[in-house]
Amino acid sequence: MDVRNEHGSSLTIVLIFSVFALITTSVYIISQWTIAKPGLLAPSSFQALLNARSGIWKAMELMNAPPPDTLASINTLGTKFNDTLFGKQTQNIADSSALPPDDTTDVSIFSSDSFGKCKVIFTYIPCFKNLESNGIFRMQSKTVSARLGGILHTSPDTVCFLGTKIPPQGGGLIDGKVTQIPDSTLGGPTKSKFISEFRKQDLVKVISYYKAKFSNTNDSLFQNSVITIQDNDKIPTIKDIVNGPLLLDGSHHDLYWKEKRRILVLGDLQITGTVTVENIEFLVSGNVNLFDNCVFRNVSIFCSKTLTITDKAVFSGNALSLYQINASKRGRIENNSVLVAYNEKKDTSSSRIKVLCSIFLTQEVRCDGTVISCGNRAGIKTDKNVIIHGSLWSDSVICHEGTLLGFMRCKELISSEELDSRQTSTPPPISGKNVMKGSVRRLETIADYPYPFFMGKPSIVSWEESM
Amino acid sequence: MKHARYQDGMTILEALIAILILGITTTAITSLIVTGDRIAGRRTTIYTATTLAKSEIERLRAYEKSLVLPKDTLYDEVVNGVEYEVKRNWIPNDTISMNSTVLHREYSVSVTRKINQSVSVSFRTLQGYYGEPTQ
Repeated sequence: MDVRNEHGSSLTIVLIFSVFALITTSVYIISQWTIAKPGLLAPSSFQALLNARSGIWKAMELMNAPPPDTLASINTLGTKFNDTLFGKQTQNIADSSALPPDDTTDVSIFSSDSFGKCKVIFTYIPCFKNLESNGIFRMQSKTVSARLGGILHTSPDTVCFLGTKIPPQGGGLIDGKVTQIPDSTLGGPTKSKFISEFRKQDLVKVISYYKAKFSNTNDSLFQNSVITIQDNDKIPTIKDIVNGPLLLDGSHHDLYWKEKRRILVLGDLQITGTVTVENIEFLVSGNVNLFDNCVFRNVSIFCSKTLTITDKAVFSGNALSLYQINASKRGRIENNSVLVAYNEKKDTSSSRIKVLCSIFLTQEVRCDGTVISCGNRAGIKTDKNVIIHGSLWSDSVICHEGTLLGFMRCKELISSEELDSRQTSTPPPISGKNVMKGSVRRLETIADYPYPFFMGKPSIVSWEESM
Repeated sequence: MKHARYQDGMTILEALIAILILGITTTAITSLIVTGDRIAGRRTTIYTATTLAKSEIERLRAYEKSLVLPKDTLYDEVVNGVEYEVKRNWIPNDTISMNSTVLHREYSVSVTRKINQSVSVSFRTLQGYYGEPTQ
């Protein structure tokens, strides 16, 4: 019995050994596969990223496609001359010239579809366009976001672009070159890629887009009373559409609101106390008031009325106001921000007061960014003790008494006395001379400052890739 | 005696079965180990080739604001004693941009391991230019 048991056990041992060896080897191969999987998927993953990147370029082309009438003629030519390549290109553009905002569009990116496709969505953020491209290849997906703006061809040496040849007077300091803007570029868009290029039709388009947002929500709603937020717990209760004025009050508790979200406020927006807001896009049908040490970081604001930054409030991001921008009392504009005031209001004959300016930087304001004023009241006024890094761009006059490092562009420089006299007299006298009491110095990093998409040459001002 | 003979017969059978099982197991194990090594080798090759392609595409991206467009390129790279061929081609099919401000071109980037001339990886990308490059 014992002998038989010994003989029988050899088979059992072999079986156990075999099973153990197979398990060990299987574990080895599974571990090898697990280790290898990311490496083996790396090409698909990278191609998906390339598709997403390529989608940005394709979308940029589509957004800047020529108008349909041009396309019609090109298509006719393509058919007439039976040029397949030419015909294909025009067809691509004709298909895609409508890249509507807020809608996802499938974009064919390569000549061969075997390398995958991508989906593109573009949204307006007041001064820029945001493009998001989602590249797909063999179950792999990657996302790339790009912010589209403009670049101006400027040299740090030129600090002053003026509408007339008259050199600035008035005791101001100009450390750099003063250049005259060619007449052809004054007062509107031109084909020139010069400093003055301003595409009003693009700006009007974005304003219409936002106005449509307001009108779509106004139809069915009545405004509520002021919605006051005084506690962080209440912040999640803020709806996407706030049907009335919104007050964020950080006087009692510090408020912190960081979210990638678009909030439409049908009324005024007021921030007071210790409040920090990040990454939010506000569309406000009334005034926007940033008071008392509040901090806005990477925030976008579309404001139908006046934007006020005062009492040490800090703003960084981009803002478009349809009436006026006032920064005062040690308010700070930081991080290459962009502020645009576009005031279309015309002077009424009943009032003798003509408001020439739509941007006021006063009382020890510090500004790091681009300040642009255009429309019918396109003046900019800076007080002494105001320091600006960046540029002042006006389609009209600038009254500069502060310190500017960068450059300014305007039709005429005027003194504050003259500004006052022009605002109260009808019709305003034209002095014909450039007067400036402030200082302008060159800034080496001026090329790093972004401009809105409706100015200068279209370009990508920021780029973000998903990992 | 009868019992002992039965036992002997079983021993031979057992041994044969054991040898058979051992043979099958050894073959399976060897095959699995070879597959595992092949996976590891393939992973290394693909990963290295992808890394080389990434470098080449980053080089391409550096031309984004350049005033000249990059020319097609073909060169060899040696990584851990293995020689790879990196090739970047402009695909002229899709290069006409009707827009005067932003131009883009389609490129193919492929990396081949030179030992057996097999294409390890191949990528396609669009690269935009806004430095007003000359053709």
